[in-house]
Amino acid sequence: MTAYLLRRSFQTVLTLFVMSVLVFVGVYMIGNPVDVLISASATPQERQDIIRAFGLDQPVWTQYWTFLTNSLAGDLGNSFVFNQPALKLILSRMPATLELAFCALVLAVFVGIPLGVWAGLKPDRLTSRMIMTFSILGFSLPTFWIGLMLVMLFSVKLGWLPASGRGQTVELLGVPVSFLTWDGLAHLILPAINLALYKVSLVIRLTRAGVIECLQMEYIRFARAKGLTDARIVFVHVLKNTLIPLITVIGLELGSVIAFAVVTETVFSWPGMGKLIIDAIGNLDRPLILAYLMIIVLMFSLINLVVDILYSVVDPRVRLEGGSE
Amino acid sequence: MTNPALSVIGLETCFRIRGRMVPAVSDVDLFVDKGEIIGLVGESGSGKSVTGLSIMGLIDKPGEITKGKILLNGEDLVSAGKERLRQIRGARIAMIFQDPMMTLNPVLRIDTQMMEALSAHDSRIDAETARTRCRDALGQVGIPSPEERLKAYPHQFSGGMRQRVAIAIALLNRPDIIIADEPTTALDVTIQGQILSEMQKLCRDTGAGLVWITHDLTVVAGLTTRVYVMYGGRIVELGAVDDILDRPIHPYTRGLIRSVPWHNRPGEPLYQIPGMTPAIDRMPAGCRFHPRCALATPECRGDIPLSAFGPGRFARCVHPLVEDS
Repeated sequence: MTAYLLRRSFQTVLTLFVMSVLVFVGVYMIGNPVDVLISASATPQERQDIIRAFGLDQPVWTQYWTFLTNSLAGDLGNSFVFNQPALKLILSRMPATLELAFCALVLAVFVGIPLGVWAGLKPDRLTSRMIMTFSILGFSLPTFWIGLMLVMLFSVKLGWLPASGRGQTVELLGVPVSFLTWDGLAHLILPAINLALYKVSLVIRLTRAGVIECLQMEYIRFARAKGLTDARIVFVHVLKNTLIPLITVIGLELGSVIAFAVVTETVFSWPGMGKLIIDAIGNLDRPLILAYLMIIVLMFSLINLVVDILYSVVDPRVRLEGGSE
Repeated sequence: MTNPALSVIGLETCFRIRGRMVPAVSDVDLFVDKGEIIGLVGESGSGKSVTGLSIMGLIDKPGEITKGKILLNGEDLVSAGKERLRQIRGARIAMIFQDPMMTLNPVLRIDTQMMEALSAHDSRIDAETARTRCRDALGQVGIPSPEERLKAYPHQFSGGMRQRVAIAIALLNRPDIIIADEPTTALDVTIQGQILSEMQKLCRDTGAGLVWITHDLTVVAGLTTRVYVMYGGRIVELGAVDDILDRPIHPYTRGLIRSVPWHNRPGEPLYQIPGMTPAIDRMPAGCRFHPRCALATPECRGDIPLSAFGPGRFARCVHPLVEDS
């Protein structure tokens, strides 16, 4: 297990390095941030000063080398726009996005799996057909449109829930969170539902397919021949087998929810990372873009590692390579 | 005749095919005494597995038992409720399936899969007792170091060992009847021999009646006392095993016996019954075998009842193969 973790860590570092080179070169080629940052009335002297201050007069490999050595020391550079450490900026916005993403994930799992199991067990029932129709809608309707409709209905027409912001937050282990106050929770509901809708649909369809496939297996027939109750067969024999493909997909989806919550965050003015990165790209704020992408890469690597470990827990046939038997 | 442990009377099981209920087996009468081993022999599609599953109450939609009685110690299983059937399944009547690679749930440990068979029928059993009984059952079917093997997963066993585990599970609750649906077909010959002799011994020791479903006459010859030959969803011949093998009455039985290449000289072409097993929705009228039978005459298209050819010896044929008077 230790050998396995060591090898995975090494792979992650390698991925981060390759990623940083690609992004650095990519961002370098997009355009000159000075043109965006400086007002048109600035004198050539002011312009030169800023270019020098940002280190943009150096050749690209020197700039990259500076970035690399600094980042090894934990410094991912200062944002051009905010003139603050990029890492700090991102980390200050991260809890909001993470909270939203995890809420969406919890919804996807706790709504999607039961509905999917039901639709798989009783595929001919009217309720199952309704569930499947719902999942098609959840798949195909655009997130921003659903977001707007939710705001229209619940905030504007009915006035039940707030339409924007995080509401009141409290500190949990030094991190501000919304879900522990009524006000925060009320602010969280709509964006979380909005973000979860696609994932719920995905989980429903995957679970249903898994359950239907599993029910045809010979070991389910054998389980019935043993005289087990239906509940035992569904919740132990079927569900555990269905979880195997689900874990992989949910893991990957968690990563994409965190990285691409932009649309929902924009619709609900949720103060998360998504808004930050969009602005950073607009301003060509190189350190911020770089730092954001590095963090996302790191997060994906971590999630994949957790998924692989969970996988070996659920499926005994999977043994982690390099692990001790 | 004493009361048999299991008797099937006039069983008919139908499947809905293109909106029509088509019988897969009909007019099936059979009985098994306590501790007796009977053979249920026929080609693929002859209805032998459907008969086995009907006895277990494991016929799923679109299939249904439409006629007849299945009496287990005098209690009718066809009219029994769902919950009563569950209580009987695995406790009073158990089943072993063909492919040992598929009958055990890959993600559950052996002890989980064994102990649940006990707790399903005795909710008050404590874990320690259950464990001991499972360990003893594994030992009984010849699995070395049963204590350790309880903690293993199915993929850590060979095919033969998995089938032993399945047999151990079937025997756990000391059932009155065991239905074995070709349990040695997927195993190699030496393992097959071991399992056959162990099954024979276990049935003698526990007094369980055994219905051995197979297409393999060599297995039947050594194992069973009486044989039922099935073709096209009907029993076409029955009798003591030696009578059937030495003096078949039905041309189909003779064809089956000749198909076993045991008397063949090298280079001699192997015997085969001409034609194919009919599909269940295209059964010929009258004797289902007549389109493939060399002796067929127009009378074979009429209704042919099972007629007696001696004590305990019946066949469904108008051209019986009886040489002596």
